[in-house]
Amino acid sequence: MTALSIQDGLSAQLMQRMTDADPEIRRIALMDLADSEDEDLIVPLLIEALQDVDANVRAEAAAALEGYESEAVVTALIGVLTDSDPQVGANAALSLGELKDASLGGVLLNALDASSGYAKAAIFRALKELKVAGSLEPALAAIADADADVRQAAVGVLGYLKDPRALASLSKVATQDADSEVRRIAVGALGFAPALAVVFPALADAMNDESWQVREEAVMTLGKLRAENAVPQLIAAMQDSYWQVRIKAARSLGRLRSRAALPALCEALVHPVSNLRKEAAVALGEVGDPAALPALEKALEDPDPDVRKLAKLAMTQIAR
Amino acid sequence: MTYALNRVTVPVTVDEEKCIAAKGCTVCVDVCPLDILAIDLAKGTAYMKFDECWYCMPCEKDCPTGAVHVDIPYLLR
Repeated sequence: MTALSIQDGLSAQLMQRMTDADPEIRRIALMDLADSEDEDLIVPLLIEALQDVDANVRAEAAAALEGYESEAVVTALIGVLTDSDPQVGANAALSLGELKDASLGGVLLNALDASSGYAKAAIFRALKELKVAGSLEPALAAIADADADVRQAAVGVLGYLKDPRALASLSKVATQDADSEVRRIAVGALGFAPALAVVFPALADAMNDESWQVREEAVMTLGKLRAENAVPQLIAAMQDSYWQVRIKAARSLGRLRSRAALPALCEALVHPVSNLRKEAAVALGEVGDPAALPALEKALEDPDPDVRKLAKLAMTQIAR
Repeated sequence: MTYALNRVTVPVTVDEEKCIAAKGCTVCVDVCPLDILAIDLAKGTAYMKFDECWYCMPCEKDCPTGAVHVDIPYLLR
């Protein structure tokens, strides 16, 4: 019996509370257990507690297993992703998401086929940061999943893998998925493309997306890829109905040091939203064209002190 | 005019119905960075012993039964 040797290491009093009839006492005992040091003793007890009759105890155990990385822990956590109590599943998903050991990727991959919905999305989220090569195929297959949550997680995996073989599928998702959050993540993932030409059509398309978050992401990604030929579209994005998109367009135009954007950026210096005025001032500094000086001088009178400061900074940048 | 020498309201209040300190729970006492909460051994519930709160909130957030409530002053919100 392992129970005897476990009792040797932990205080008999704690062991007694672990099996108390009152679920709240069992739960507090679990918290105390998680504070003790000996991993070999704690982990089996926490795994056992995942099967407790009380949902609060199970949820506590699922949260306490965070940071313990072994096959047994991962298997047990995957098992409770579909728990009848949503809090247990949510805590298990959080603990799985903290995994750092890529050698456990195999356990996660093996569990994908049998899972669906919330559990499948949680497994993909756990796989994301592990970046195991074997997750490419299942993630590519899952971008056709009926559940938007699964598609979001799968696209996230592809974005982290940075495997060029996924670019064609990601371009398709970025423009055609029914869920705007899935499209947004895909647009962001396209930023790892080694050559702009492959993804440019999809990004240009995403700039006209009906969701402003997708447009914002597309504008950022184009700046990240230093897409010189996207300048006309980025200048057009300076007229977007959402200032959030305009801010990112200004940032990208600054990165590209686009002289053609001067009129649009100078115009943004008098926009009612001060965050946009700030970004426009920074971008004008990056472009470095003295033609922007009169507009920046006016911005020295701006009611927002940050705008005044950044306008001054931009002016010294241009003078240099 | 009378002076209010003893403040009767403190920022951290504990719902005695929900508090399970009697069952061995000390989460709020443990997480408080200023160590100003304590367990009333007679009543078996947690309470604010010293009024030096920083309004950092872990006691409210971590309480397993949601018994702790921190009243944040209006100007801090």
